[in-house]
Amino acid sequence: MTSGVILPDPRFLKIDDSNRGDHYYLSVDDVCYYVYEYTPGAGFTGDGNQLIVNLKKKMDRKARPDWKYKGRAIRTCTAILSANINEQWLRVGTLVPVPPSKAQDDPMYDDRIAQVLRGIQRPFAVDIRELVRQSQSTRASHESEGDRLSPDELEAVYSIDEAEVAVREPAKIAVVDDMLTTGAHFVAMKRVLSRRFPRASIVGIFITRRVLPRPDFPDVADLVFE
Amino acid sequence: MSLLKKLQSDDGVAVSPVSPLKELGAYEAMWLEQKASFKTVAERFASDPDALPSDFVSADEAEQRGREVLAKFRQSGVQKFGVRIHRTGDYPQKLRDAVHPVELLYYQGTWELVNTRCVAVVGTRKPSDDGIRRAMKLSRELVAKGFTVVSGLATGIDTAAHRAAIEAGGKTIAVVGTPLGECYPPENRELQDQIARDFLLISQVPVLRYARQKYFVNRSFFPERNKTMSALTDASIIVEAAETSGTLIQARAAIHQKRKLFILNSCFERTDIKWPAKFEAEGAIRVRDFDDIWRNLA
Repeated sequence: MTSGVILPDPRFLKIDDSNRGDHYYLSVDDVCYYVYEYTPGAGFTGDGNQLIVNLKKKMDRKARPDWKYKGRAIRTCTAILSANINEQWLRVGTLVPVPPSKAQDDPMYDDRIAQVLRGIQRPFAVDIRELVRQSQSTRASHESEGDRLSPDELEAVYSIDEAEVAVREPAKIAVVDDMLTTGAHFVAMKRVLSRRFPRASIVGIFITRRVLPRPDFPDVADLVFE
Repeated sequence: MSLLKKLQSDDGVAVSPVSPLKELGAYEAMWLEQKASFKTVAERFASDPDALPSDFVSADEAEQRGREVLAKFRQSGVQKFGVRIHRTGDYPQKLRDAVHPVELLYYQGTWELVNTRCVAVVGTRKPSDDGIRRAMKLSRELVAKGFTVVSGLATGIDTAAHRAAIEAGGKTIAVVGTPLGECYPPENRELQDQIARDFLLISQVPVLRYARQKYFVNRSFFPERNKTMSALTDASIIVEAAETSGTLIQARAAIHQKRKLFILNSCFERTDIKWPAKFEAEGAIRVRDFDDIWRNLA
C-alpha cells in the first residue's frame, strides 16, 4: 500500500505511561514529544548522544575546530523537526523556544534552540517567537549535579515578552527544547504561558529525553546532572 | 498503511507520532495471534514498509496489551526498561541485516553500549574445562582491546564470557531468549540483574506470549535471539559447539548478515563434528591465534 505520503524517519515519539516516570515533574496532562534518548555518562555514542553533545557545545569553544559540529547539529535538528511538525498545525501554531539558561547579555548566551527553529522553511511564514524571557542567568541544568531547578524557581525568573505577543495572540503553542530532563523547564514554561494565554493549547517538543538506566537512580536529588 | 489512516493519525503538532506503550502493546498483540513467529511478523512488516505495530492492531487492543506488559513487568521486578522501535530514534539499523528483522525490542540498562564495537562470544551450554578457559581468556582480551563482549546469558560459554568481561572491568551485553524479568537458567538471575543494571540487557521476546506458553514452546526463542545477537555485533566467535548446537544458528546468521565469523581452532581439531569445516568453506575464519581475530577486526 503506497500512499505517496512520506513519513518522517525518525518519527516523533510520545511521552506516555511507559516512560513518563523518568521525568519527575511531568503529569499525565503534559503532551510531550521527543526524538532520541540520551543517557548521561554514556559518552559520545549513538545518534541522540552525539547530537546533543554537539548541539550543547558552549559558546567559548567558538575558536575551536570542533565548533563546526554545533552548526551541523543545529541543521540536523532543524531537519528532524521540520519533517515531524504537522503542516496544518504550523499554519496556526507558534513555536516557542525555552529561553537559554544564560541571560542575553551573558557572553555564554546560546540561543541554539531559536536557531534550530528559524531554520524551518515553509511556503508561509512560520511563527517562531521567544515569548518567554529569562530575567537572570541560571546555571544550565547539565552543568552541575548540585543544581536542581524546580518549576517554581524557573517560573520566578520567567516572564512573558509582551513585545513578542503584540503580533497576535498564540492559539497553539509548542515549547521546544533540546532535552527533557525532570520536566521542570517545560512545566514552568507551560505555567507562565497558560496564565497569559489561557485558551492556548501547549505541548512540548524535545530533541532528546534523558533516561537514567539504573533503577536506583530516580531519587529527585540525583535527577539533574547531564 | 493507507493515506487516510496516515492523515487521521496526524495528531496536532506531530505527523504520525509514536507512543512506545501503544507500539509495544500492538507488537505483543501481533504475537498473541496463533501462528505468530518472527518470520510471520517480519513478513507482515515487509509487506507494508511504512507500518508500525499499531497499524496492524486496534488502538484499544494495543493500549490494553501495553498495560498488561507494564503490569507484568511490575510483577516481575522490572523497574526500568526501554523499547526500540523501527522508524524511531535509536533503533539500530544493523538489525535490518537479519532475514527476519525485529521491529521492536525491549532493553534494560545503558542502550548506548550497542553503539560501541561489539563482538559476540558464544558456544555450548555444556563446555569442556578448556572451553570455559578459552571463553574467559578471549573475553578478557576483547575487553583489553576495547570491545564490548556480547553473549546470550546461557549456561556454559555464554556465562563464562559475560563474567570474564565484567571481572576484567569491561563492558558486556546480554541478548536473552527470555522476556525482561524472566531468567534462564535461574542461577544466572544475579548476573542478569547486574547486566541489566550496569550494562545492557536486550530481549526481543514477547512478554505476554511467553507467559501463555509452556517452556518447551518458549525454547524456540533461544535460537531466535542468536540471529539478533549476530546482527547487533561486528563479529561472532564460536568457542565450542556440538554438531546440533543452537550456537550454529548464530554462525549461519553471521554468514548471511555478512558479519565476521570466527571459529576457534580447537573446534576444527575435533573429529566428531563437521560444522567447522562447513562454515570455513562459507567464509568463517579459523582462529589459530588470537591475532587472527585482531587482524580481521581492524
